[in-house]
Amino acid sequence: MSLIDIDQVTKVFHEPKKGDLLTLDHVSFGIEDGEFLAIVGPSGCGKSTVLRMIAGLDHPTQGEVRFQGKPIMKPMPEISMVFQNFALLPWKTARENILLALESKEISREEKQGRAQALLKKLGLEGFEDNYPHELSGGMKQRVGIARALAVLPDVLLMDEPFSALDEVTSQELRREVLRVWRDRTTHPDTFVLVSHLVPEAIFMADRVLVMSPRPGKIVAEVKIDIPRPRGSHVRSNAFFDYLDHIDRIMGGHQGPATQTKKTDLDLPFPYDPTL
Amino acid sequence: MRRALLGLVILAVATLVAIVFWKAWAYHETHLLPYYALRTLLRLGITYIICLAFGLAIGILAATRERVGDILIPLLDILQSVPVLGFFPLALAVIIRSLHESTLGLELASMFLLFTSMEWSIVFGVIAGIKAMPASIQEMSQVFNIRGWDYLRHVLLPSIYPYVIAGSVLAWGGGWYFVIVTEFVTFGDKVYSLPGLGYYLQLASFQYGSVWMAIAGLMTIGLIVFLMNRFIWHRLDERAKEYRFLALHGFKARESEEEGFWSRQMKSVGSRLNVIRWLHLPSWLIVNLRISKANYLFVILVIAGLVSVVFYGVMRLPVSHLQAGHIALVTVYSLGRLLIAYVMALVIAISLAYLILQRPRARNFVILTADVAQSIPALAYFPILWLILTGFLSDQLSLQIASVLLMLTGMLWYLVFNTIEAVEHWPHEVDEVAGVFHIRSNQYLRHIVIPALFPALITGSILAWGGGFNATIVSEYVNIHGNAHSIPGLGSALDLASNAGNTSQLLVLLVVMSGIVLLLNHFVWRRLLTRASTYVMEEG
Repeated sequence: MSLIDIDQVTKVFHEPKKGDLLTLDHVSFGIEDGEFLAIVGPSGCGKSTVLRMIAGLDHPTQGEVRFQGKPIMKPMPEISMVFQNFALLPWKTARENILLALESKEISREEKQGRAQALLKKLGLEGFEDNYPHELSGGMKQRVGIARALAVLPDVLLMDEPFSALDEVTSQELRREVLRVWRDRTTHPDTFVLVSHLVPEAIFMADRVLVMSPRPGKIVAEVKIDIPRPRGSHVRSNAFFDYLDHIDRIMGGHQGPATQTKKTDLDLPFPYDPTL
Repeated sequence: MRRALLGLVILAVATLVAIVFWKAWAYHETHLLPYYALRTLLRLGITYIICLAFGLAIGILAATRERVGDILIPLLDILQSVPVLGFFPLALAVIIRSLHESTLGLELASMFLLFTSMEWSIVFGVIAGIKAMPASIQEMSQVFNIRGWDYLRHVLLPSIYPYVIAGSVLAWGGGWYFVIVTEFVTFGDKVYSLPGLGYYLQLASFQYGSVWMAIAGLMTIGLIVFLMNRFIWHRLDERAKEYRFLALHGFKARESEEEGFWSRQMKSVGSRLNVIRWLHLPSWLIVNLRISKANYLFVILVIAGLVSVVFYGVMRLPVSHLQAGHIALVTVYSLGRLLIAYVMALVIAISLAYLILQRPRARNFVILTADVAQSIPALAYFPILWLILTGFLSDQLSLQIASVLLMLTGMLWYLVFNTIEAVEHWPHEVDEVAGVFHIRSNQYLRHIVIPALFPALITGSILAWGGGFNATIVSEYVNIHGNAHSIPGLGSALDLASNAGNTSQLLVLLVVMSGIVLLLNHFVWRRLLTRASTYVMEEG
């Protein structure tokens, strides 16, 4: 038993006009305590659906998703999430957005305030605590999103394409920030799950990368990334490019001949998207 | 120079106001104007609060419970497209009879009518607001376990705030329109009246025949509407801008520091235009929510069942002298008048759009004039129109002209504001294309202006016909000094039936009128709307 088990999960969406849409086809894998897992795949392969099932926001048509052996029926306090479009409330300041996530927790007001302040500081938002989202840059908004997700002290942090709404420079900054949080084993959480369509992002961040096929989504490969951390100095290494080629080939094999001939830009690993 | 001009204008207006009120002072009701204004405002205010509470409850229910929404949304759509004014005499009869003609009964009847005119834009605002909430916000609330009261207070209510404000502005517009009629009603041989601005206006025109008094009443209404727009709605709307989820993407556009009188006025008109955009919420919802025809059919069948039960009961009442041929004839008369008014409104709206496109300088003038003109409820014009026309023409002809003109004022603004809105978002590449390929005058109008305005014209038309049908009820029949003047039409037939206290005839006419509205909506407007949605240009 792993920390989280995805057990023979199948998902069928009922579309009024198109009929039934098989999105996930008998997907099974485990997520270990303390690991950084990435799920990559072309758009529409159901990788976000898997993540939403772990979050308790969606449910399998067949199969089961379990946390510590118990089926996940609804969102759990142990599992937190960072959203692609930040999902901040425009009428609340950075601090208030974080505090709202703590609203239902049975802890003292001082504790809530203290936690929010500590996280704002940790994510470099000092001086912007009382700014509204529209006064913050995209990168800062996602910093608030990450701080909010951490504030509930979860065991697992889910991230659904967390950097895809940001420019590349900001994304790379935030990737390092997220890794810093993950490596800081003194605080929760220590299990991270990242969903991404960028293979280099997954290789840069994860211990293990699961590769999914286009719809109906299946896990077609599991790749362990053995690049030493911190990986900043390794993004141009041969090992990094070997992983890129390997995953690229796996994904290309499921996409038809057109994408197989795509050349990688060796000078610039980021942004690099074999699905394009 | 500009300041001097402004001073001159203010002086002129002040003089005019002084003369009007000095002349109107001769009638003692004028002394009571502040009291009347207060009563009318109170009536509207209380109804608005009820509408808001009801709208939030029903709207949240319809938008969040799928099964409930499947039935509620078609039902609301049908209710809002039925000409409510026609139901007033009936409602009045029921309420007054059960409450023994007390003032309370009259107030309740009046508030009931106001409710039916104010409610829909609020309910649809709430529903649209919830439907427009980003999915991620709802998921976020689930992940962080924000539920119940916390969810309502921190997430849902702020999310729909801009929509509720826009709906409220429209609701008050509708409320002002109807409050004029509800304060002075004849049913059977009795006249029921409530103290208020509508009563004052009708008294001025139909009892005293005093133009001064009528203008004084109009000025008071205009002033109140202006003040409310300026100091309540405009401010709430400004705040609503901060509540939009759109503000999340990218930085907020920097606004100019210049805050002169005219730029402030233009801004307030600008927010009005935003509001106009929400006007087509109901049709937007129906097209976008993919409510199945089966649900519609179900709701219509239920209503038809209810109506036939009522009919069965009614038919056992004293005999009604209804002839199908007569009803068909008056329907044709009314539709004819509406069509004339509609074509006039269409021509005016398109001409104004063309004018603004050709002479961008005319834009501010057109918008400001239209804004001021539309803020005075169309029904308030009727008595004055009547007074002026009868000065030159026979009563019958005056009524014919006044009737069409009133329908025009009931229809015009929806079309004008929708087309101005479309012009504001004019895709200027299209003009460049026209320039490059030498497409000019007639061809420019035919191949570019009209197709580009098509979606706006359709949504405007739906609202315009709704307003038009309501106008038929008040425009084909007037009662002056106890002398009834009427021209044949659906509206006057309704009025005559209610004056005679003929409930069964009233019901039949109402069903006919509502049926026509629903058929028009279904077979004409909804189809054109679907087609119009393919005409919408991508904003560049």
